[in-house]
Amino acid sequence: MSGDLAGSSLNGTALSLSDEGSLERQIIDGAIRHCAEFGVSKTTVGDIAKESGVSRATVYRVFPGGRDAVFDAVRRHQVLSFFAELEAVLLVADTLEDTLAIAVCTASCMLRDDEDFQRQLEHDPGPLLETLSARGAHRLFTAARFFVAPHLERFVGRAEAGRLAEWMTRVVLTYTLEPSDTLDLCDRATADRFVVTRLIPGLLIQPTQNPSVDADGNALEATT
Amino acid sequence: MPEDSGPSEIAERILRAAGRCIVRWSVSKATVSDIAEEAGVSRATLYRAFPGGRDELIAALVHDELHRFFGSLAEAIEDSEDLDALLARGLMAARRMVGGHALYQRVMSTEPQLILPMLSIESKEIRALIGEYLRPWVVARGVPAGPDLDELCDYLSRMVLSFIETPGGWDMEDRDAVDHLVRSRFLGAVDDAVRRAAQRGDAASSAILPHHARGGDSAH
Repeated sequence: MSGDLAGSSLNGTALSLSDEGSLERQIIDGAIRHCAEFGVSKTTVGDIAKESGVSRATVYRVFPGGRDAVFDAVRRHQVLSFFAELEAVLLVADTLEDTLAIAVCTASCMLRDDEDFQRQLEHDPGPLLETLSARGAHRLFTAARFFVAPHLERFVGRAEAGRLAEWMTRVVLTYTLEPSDTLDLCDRATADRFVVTRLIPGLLIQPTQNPSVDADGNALEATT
Repeated sequence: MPEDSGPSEIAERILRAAGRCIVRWSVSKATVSDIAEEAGVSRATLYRAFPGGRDELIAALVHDELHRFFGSLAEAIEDSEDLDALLARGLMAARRMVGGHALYQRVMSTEPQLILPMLSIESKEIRALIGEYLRPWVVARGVPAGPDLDELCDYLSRMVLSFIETPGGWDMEDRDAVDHLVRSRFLGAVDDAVRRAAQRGDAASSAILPHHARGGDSAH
């Protein structure tokens, strides 16, 4: 379902999944490398060009929007990579609770362990926060719906799966950007408890073939 | 001037002037001179009120505007009949207020990278304020005092802020959609906490549970 990215019917604005232009990729990689060392704010088009081994003119030709367009592509690439990696671990889950807990826990840990992300958050949060809030958040929600929601559909149906994926994205975002003293979603047991007490009870689910919760939101034993 | 009653009168005037200048010219282009002139004070007076200069002024403006925003919001909804209505009305009112907030719209469209870190610095305090505001309503619903209540109020306030900032797939102008949002994203967690407390046979909770929240039959 989520395997064929190129053939997807996403409306294309948020996620550009084509694999054309190795130049585009080269420039994106160059931008990422320079930012990793010097930070986003200290990375100019000249820097990107040099790091990518192309001329400035080439950068502008491939990315007519200039620096903003390059960074937009970088973010898009990073979001796709993140969610693709996250999706891979969801395949092992076979109950709704497990799927949600693994998703929330894994995503939180990936962000915690992402040195680049943490460095930006600490030293140069402006550009990063811009990507993650308001308009930027829409890109994340779209990616969550594309990568994560399919794994929830069999439990909660399509409509709720998309909303649930968006909701989980909000949860991971808030507890990552503003860590809580008492709640650490990187801890699996905590994530399990969080899912069961905060996420599951509010779901408006129709019982499916393999219901994992009863009408009151109490976990049922998994049937095989 | 009393020190604990917010900015002094002069500081207030300067802050409001700064807001107007920023709407007109943006954060990066609004200078101290512009702001002082708009406020009708000398630069010396401005620096006396804000010794840290422009940076301190902007930070103070962000702080002040946030408190004004949530103060107005709280007033607008405090006559709600229950937590469901409070949250639904609060989210809808907040979205309307954000949409009509000239200063917020201006900076978010032209210089989000400047303002977002400042908002994030204020975030912990704002969350605490919202959590405290919601607490009595959550308690009235039947969640007893304790670590679960604290964590729950923190969670609710985080979700409130998240939806105010980014409505996402929800149409915040549609009362039915917002009721659905409130029921699924907020009240589910609250009523589960009520249920668990009741199951624990928590003496405090059974004493104060309002009628409609007793037993397993919450109002869904």
